[in-house]
This record gives sequence, C-alpha cells and structure tokens, in this order.
Amino acid sequence: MKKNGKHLFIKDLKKNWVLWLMLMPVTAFFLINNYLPMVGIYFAFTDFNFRDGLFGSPFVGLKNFEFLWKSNILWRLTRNTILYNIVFILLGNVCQAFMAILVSLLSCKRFKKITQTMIFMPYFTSYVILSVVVYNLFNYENGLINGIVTNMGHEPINFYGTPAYWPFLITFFHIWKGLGYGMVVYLATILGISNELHEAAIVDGANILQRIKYIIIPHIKPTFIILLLYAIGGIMRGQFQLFYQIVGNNGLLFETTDIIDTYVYRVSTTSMEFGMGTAAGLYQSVFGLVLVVTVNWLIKRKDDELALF
Amino acid sequence: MKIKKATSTYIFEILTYFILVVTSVICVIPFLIIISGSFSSNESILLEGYALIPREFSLEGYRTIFENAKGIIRAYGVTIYCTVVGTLVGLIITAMTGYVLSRKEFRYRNRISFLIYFTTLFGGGMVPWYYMYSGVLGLKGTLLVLWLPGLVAPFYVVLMRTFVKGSLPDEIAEAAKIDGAGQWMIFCRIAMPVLKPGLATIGLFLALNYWNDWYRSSMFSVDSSTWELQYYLYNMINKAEAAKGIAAEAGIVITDLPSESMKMAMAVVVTGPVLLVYPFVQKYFVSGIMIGAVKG
Amino acid sequence: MKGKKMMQLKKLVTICIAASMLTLSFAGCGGNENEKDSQVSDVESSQEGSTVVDTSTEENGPDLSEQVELVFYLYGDAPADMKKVEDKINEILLEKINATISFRHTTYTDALSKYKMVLSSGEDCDLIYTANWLEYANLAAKQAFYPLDELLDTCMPEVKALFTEEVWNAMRIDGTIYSVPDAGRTTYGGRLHVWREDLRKKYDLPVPDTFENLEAYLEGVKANEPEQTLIARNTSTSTTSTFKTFDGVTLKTFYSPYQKGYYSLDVDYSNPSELFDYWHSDLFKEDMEAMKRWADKGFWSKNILSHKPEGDISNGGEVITNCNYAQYLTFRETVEKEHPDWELAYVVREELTGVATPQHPTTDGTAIAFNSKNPERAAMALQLFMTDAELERLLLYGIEGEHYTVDANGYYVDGPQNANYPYEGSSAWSLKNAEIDLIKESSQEMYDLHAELGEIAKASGYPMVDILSGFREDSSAYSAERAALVSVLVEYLTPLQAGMVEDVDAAIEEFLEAAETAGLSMIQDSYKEQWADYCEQYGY
Repeated sequence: MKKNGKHLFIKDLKKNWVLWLMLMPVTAFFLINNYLPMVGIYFAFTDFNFRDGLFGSPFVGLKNFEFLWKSNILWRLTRNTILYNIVFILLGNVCQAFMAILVSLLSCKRFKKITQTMIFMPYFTSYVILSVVVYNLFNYENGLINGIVTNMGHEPINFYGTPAYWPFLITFFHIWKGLGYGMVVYLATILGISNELHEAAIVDGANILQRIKYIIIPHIKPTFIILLLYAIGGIMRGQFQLFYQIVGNNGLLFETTDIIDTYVYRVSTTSMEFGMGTAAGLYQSVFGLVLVVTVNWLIKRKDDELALF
Repeated sequence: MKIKKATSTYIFEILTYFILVVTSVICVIPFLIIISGSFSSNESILLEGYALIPREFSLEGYRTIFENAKGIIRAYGVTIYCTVVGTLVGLIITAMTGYVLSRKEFRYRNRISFLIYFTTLFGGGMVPWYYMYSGVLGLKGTLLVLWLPGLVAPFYVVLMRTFVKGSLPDEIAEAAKIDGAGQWMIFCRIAMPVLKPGLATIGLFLALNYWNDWYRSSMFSVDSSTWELQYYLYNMINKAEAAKGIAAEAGIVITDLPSESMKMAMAVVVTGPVLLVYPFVQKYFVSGIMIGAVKG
Repeated sequence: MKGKKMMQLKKLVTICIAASMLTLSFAGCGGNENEKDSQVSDVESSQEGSTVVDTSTEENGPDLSEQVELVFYLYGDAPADMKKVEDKINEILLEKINATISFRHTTYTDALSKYKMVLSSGEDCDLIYTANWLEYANLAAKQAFYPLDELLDTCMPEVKALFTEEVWNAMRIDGTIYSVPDAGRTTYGGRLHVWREDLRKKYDLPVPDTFENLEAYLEGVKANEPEQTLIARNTSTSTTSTFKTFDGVTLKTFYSPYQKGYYSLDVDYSNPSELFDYWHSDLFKEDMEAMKRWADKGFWSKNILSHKPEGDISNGGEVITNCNYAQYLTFRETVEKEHPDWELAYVVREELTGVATPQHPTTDGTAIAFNSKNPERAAMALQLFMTDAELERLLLYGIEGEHYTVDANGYYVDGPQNANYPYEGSSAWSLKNAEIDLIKESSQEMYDLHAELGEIAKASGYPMVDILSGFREDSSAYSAERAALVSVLVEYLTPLQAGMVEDVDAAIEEFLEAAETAGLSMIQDSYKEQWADYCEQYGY
C-alpha cells in the first residue's frame, strides 16, 4: 500500500508537473509562514524560560491546560463560544446571501452601487468605535433606546446590568459588521450565472421568486456550504475584539458573554506563563479539527464536490 | 397571468428597496459619528460623547494631524506600496492555487486543500512566526516583510477554488485539452477571463487586508520609515492609553497626546481613500443580470 | 480512500520533524550565530574608518580592541531627531569604549509582547529598559536578563556606588540583580485626592479629608449640580493583576493606612509580617455596603463597568480623582489654561495616614539582555550613560542649544527644536541620575512635596522601602488556581466594588464561594508562607 502510494505520487508528478509547479509558491509560503512556526505548539507543554529556550525548558505535561478547567467555567465558556459561533455562521451567511440576492436583482445601477458601499461601511468601523456606538444606544442614563423607553412612560432598562439582552445585541452587531464583506462573495457567485439562464427562465414565465428559488439559490449553494464548512473549524475561536470592546470587564454580563478568548485574555494579562495561551489555543484547535473533519466526511459522502478537502 | 407577474415583481421591488434603504442607513450611522467626531472640539466629545452632528464645530483634529504631514504621507506611501504589490502577487498565487485545487485530474487536490486548511486550525503563536521572518530570514525593518506574510490566506484559496469550480465547467477545460492546450494555457487563456468577478473579490479582500494591516509594521519596524498608515493611527491611540497607565503607575507624564477628535480625524484620513476607490472596484460586482429585463 | 488519513498524518509528522530540525537554533538563544541585520545602521560604517580609538587594555579592564555595535531597546516612540542624537552619542562612545549603539523603540503598541519576542528569539539586544509595569520581575525570573552582580564590580563600579545595598537588594529577583534602577530623585508614592475646590467653596461643603467628608462633599455637589458627573474613571489595578476595573473603594481605602496586598491580604507597615485578610473581614462588608450606597445615590453611572469615559477632572468629566502628583500637575495646567475660573485642591494620603515609603526601585531600570553578545561593553555603556553628564543629557534631552537650553538657575528650558526631541522624549527614564540630570522649573514643587514626604517616611520609623512592591510571589505552584481566581474577581468582585449588586450580603457570599472554588485558600496559604519567609529574610 505504501509503495503503491509512492508510485502513484511519482506518476502524478510526471503527468501534472505543470500543476505541481503552479503550487510551488503557495507551498513555500505555508511552509515558512505556518508549518515551520508550528513548533511553537510545544510551548503549551513547557515551563518556558528564556535561557533554555523552547526545547530546553522543562517539560510539564498538561500543567498549562489546568487553568482551563480549574475554575469550573470551561463548560460555560465552551457553550457560549459554540452557540455564538453557530448563530454567527448560520445567520451571518444567510443574511449575506439574502442581501446579495436583493442587490443583484436591483435594476437601478446607481442605487446598487450606493447601497453596496454603504453596507460595506461597518467593516471599516473599528471595534472601539463600535463600542462607542453601542454605549450611546444602550446606556442607562442617556442612551437613545432608554430615551425612547422613558418617553413612552416606562422605567429605563438597565442593559449593562442584564445579561439576557447581550446575546441578541452582540449577534446583531457582529452580523451588521460583516454584512458588506460577506455579501461580496455571494454577489460574485451570482454574477457567475450566465445571462442566458435567466433569459430562458423569463421566457418560460418564471417570476422573480421562482427564479431566485430555482436558479440563484442552487447556484450559490456550493459557496454557502463551503463557507459554512470553512467556518466550522473555527467554532471554538471567539471574536475577541467584538466581545472585549463591547462588554469589557463587566462581570455582570459574563454569564452570557464570556467566551474562551476573553477568559484567556483576562488570565494572560495577569500571568506571564507563555504556555497557557498556547494551551488554550490547542484546545480550540483540536476541537475544531475533530468537528470539521467529521462534518467534511459526512458531506463528502453525499457529494464529493461540496467538500472542503 | 401577465398582470400577476407584474404585481409580484412590483411588490418585490418595493420591498427590496425598503430593506436595502433601511440596512444602508443602519450601516452608515457609525461612520457618520466618526466624521462628526473628527469635526468636533475635543472637549465636547469628552464631556458629552459622540453625536451625529458636531456639538461644537472644530478643525483642531485635522490641523494637528497635518502638522506632521510628512509622517502621514510616508505612511500612505508604505501602505499603497504594500497594497499594490501584495495584492498583485497574492492574487496570482491564489489564482494558481485555486485553479490547481479545482482540477479533477489532480488527485492530490483534497489532501493539499486539507494541508492549507489545517493552518487555520493550528498555529505556533507569534514568537516562532516572528523568529522565522526576523531571525531566519533576516527581514526585520524591510518593506518586504510588510507584505510577504499576507500574500496568501487559506480563506482566499478556498474561495478561489469555489469560484473556479463555479465558473469554469469541466467540459470546457476538457475540450481545450483535446485541442492541445496545456494546463498553463488553460489557466491563462480560459480560466482567468471567466474568473473576473472572483479575481475582483479576492483582489478586494487582499487589498483591504493590506490596507488595514498594522500588525506587521508593529512587529517588524525598526523605525517609523516602515510604518503603515493603520499603524500610525493605531500607535497613536495606544500612546494615549499607555500614557494614562504609566502616569498612574510610575508617575511619568507623557506629553503631546492625541485628542479624541484627532483620533477620529485620523480614522477618516485612513479609511477615506478606500471609500473613494471602492466604487471603481465595484463595477465588477454590479454588472451582469438585471431586474430590468423582466419588466418588458 | 485507502490510507489517506494515514498519509496525511505521516506528512504532518514529517513536516513537524523538519520544522523542529530547521529551527533548532531557536532552542538555545546562546547558540544562535545569526549575523546581525545588515540594514540596521550605516552610522558605524561611516565612522569606522575615521575614528581613531584608544584600544589599549588598561590594567585588568575588559578587552576593548574589537569595535562592537550595541542595541538598546527603549519603551515608547522614538523622537523625530533620534538618529541625530544617536550619531552624537556614537561619536563619544566610539572614543570612550570603542562601541556604537543603536536605539530601537518598542513604540507604545504591544511593548510587552515585543519584549518577549525580542528576548526569546535571540535577536540582537544588549541593553533594555525594564520596569515593574513591564513585568521586570517575571521576565527576570524567567532568565530573560543577564545576571549583573559580577558585572557591577568589574564594569560598572561607579554605578554600583550610586545605590545603597538596600536598593540593590530590592532589585534582586531570586537572589540575583538583573537590572540597574534609575538614580533620579527619590519619590514617595504620593497619592492625592484632587477635587474641584471652586465647587466646594461655592456650596460651602466640607474638605474631603475623611471618608465621611468625602461623602458629604459628593452629596453636596450632587444636590446642587445634578447634571455634573461626579466620579467617572476611578479605575484601579485589581488585587492580583494588572487589568483595570472600576473600583470605588479606592476612594475609601485612601484614608486607611493599610497597603492593598495581593489576594486581599493587606499589609500594615507598622507590623508587616502580620497579614490582614480583607475579604473575610467585616471591613470588606462595610466597604461594599458603602459602595452600594454610593452607587444608589448615583455618584457614578450605572454603565461604569463597561464604559471607559474619557473625561477627567481637568475638563469637567468628574469632580474628584485619585492620582499622583505628576498627574495633578497636568490637570492643574489644563485647568489654568482652559477653565481659569475653576480651582483644584488636594490632600496627600501620606499626610493623612502618616505612612510614606519610597517608590520601589524596580519602577525604572536598565537590564542587559541574556542573549547579549557583548555584556561587558553593554555594562560599560550603561555606566557611561548614568554617570557621564554629556551622554546622559544627550540621551534624555537631546542636543543642547537645539532641543533644550539651561537657564541661570540650572533648570531645563525647551529649545527651538524641542518638538523633535522633547524632555525625556527618548523614554530613557531609567538613566536618570539626580547628580547630573535637569528638571523643569515647573516640576520643582513636585520634588519639594516628595522631599516633605521623605520626612514623613523617616519619621514614621518604617523601613525605607516599599515592602509590598519588593515582594515577588512565586505563583508557579498555583498558576492555574490564580488564573481561575482572576476570572472570578472580574466576574464577582468588580460588580461589588462598583455597588452594582442587589443584595450585598448575598453577593459577598457568592463571591467568596466562587473564589473558594477557584482555590483562594490554597493560594492564600501558599502566599502567606512566602510572605513570612520574605519578612524574615529582610527583618520586616
């Protein structure tokens, strides 16, 4: 089996040498940029000191991982991180695809351009600014929302003291921020549909909704699935800036807003242990790897072309 | 039948416009806050917060920025250089990779895709990465190191592969092959032209990535001659943060701190050009099918 | 499909092995023979030929025959004229110790991670600025710096003579000196409560020199000017960490002679070996109730835990603040310029409590990197920077006549090109030497105050060091618990400190329970043990 594999490889190399050559730059890149530096994973298992360096420092086994479960909040962190990501991935992609379809069907070119630019703008808004916006909307004393609430004769809502609101708010702002960026991918995909297909459908008397259903949606499905699959590997990685800038060190909201990355950050600001951050990252990586390989395998069984690898 | 179709289209259009207008407005508000902040006096921001319309109009923010115009212009130069070179080179590499990985006759495509995707899952952290470029390759302080590490991203490769799959049917490639075209020829003559929207998308992403980068400047600069624009801004904000901390902890007072309005003005200066250039790139995303065809 | 997974795995393993072999040099920093970056500076090449150097090795002094290039890492941004000053410095250094130096600034972004990267990657680095707020103790304990005990005798005798044995001891980490503190004027903590005196006079409110008076003052302002924000950014470092969180209690503990210790184990300097467990005391409960009362009275915003307000006392963002004298001076300057009708006043904590200790020497320091290729030459350069008036002033203030001038009273005055190299703009604070450095006339009163505080310190009979800052805990035995505890503090303690809880008693109970689960008693026990050893060692 092994020999066979080797033999096949050489055969393929001979046959597709142009393709292999075309892969040279990207191979070199990932080797330098990613694979060689991966030795750093070993940090997770050492008690690092500068004199002995990475491989000379004492090996400590899983000690660096301990902090993850010591506080009994690993379950909460994992739950929050995964739930947020599931919602972010699914809802985010649906919204992006939906907006792309709407924009692609517009007839007024100028309007198309303007809306697209405007929807892209949040992408350029840094999380610091975002936190300012959120604060101005939701603060207790003079936030815009509470202004409306009190005008209607109700008591103001203490958003910054009530964890229940934040999953919705954070999800909203996350999707809002990535809408324009993600939309571009779907727009480009939709543009790949040949015009004849649309014209044929029009001749057949298909209305707009039917064309969306039978032409556009099937066409963007592979992109949709690939993007989902792609994101699944990162399901344990949180959007640190999003959570940290909006919530900050507000312990009142942690029940619903604390994710692995914010926890690791809190810990790392107080401790010099090199290994801890790497250890947490490794936990996230292994989890993501298992998940993505499984899902990919399932999809591959159905349709080889939709799989990520 | 005909009338029914027209009404549904009509309703659909109204709804579409409505949704898009609402979304656009929601999306543009924070940017207006930034612009208004850049034209506000610093004290009004500090005391009353940001607003959609400047509470107290002032050009102070811009004036202070352009007092040191030399630094900003140089940072612009660095960023533009990195964006242009990095995007071009990155686009070519990504396109080649995406093309190869979508070829059915290439039996290792899935395995290589996996190896590329794997890098999104596992990483060795900053220190070995830094050592690679600074220690092994000795690139610290060069312009090269500002764009080299950003050339390829797994996400772009995967996207590109999907685009190739979507717009280059196997039959066409097969037909070209039978006509005697080599892989390189198919890639250059057939794949590239039909890939325009895809190339534009990845190109846009690459360019935005380069434009927004500050991290590589931060890590690899020896002096301010290789500062990118975003780093110029980012470091300015950090200076203000750091100064507060040092003053409190060590009693050291750092002067010449940026004001809030100055930070906002800087943000406008940094992102402004992108918003000006974006509409020109956009034409690749807005042409194509049109609803107008239906109306006849 | 056969064996595909296997192949992938094998491929991975191969790559990993290749990776580890290729980066083996990474393993030991000392073994790294990397040639230095050629692009760094052409200063030396332009000067190499022209300068004739006295290379004779005097007596037992180190061998100076080979010209070396040193790298000095400093915190912050480089001033615009750094290169120019560097050239001037190099002229002198070449002549004196046959070395050139190039300065690299970390900038204000991610300074600490850059420290870690430069120090762990074996990059050229000889001298480096250290500070307790840049984790001096941790870096030193992890062997990032070169041990100085010997070098002080051989290459820096003048530097060694600058400080008492007490100061050197305070710099020691695990028994070894890794950094040379600054020799500038001694400062003594000097925490102030600064308030808006004009408001106090206007509404005839008491001077906030006790906690009760402070409360009355705040209430008075609140009653008369309900729109005015009272307390906005009174953040403090948490009891175990460096993260900032709003902590109203700092306004109260201001009046207490206790020094806030780690894990709530506070220290009374009149009896340092006895630790006071604050969280388990009635005082804690009382404090938390006070904070709840204040929060309910609306002394600060309900969103204070998430929001980081930018306004401060100098622009009306708050009416009382807890700061040090240097900060007070900047506030006062702003107020005089922008709001001449306002007035600020202050009380000094040390004067109220009668406890004053000098600022800890680790606040500023210069270390030699562990992977320095020329530690001896680096040490000699350091000695020159700290004792040679010309060099010290060049680095701290730039070129005389251009960036600064000295007035008749010996004070520093801004020169015409000051913006390109402002006062201490190179951030080389650790090289200050009170004998030769210059101060601005405006900061004279600050040093006067510190001189007064010094008198208090002497009179109080406490040891002349900040005992608490000199203590370095070894948390390796409980690093996981510590990490967990930090998270508990943010989650449960900060709402208490900001008075944001419904029921104080229940919240305290919940907090202590969570802290216990994280391992508080185990940490405290280990900490107490270490503390006892420390006090015994130094006789506190």
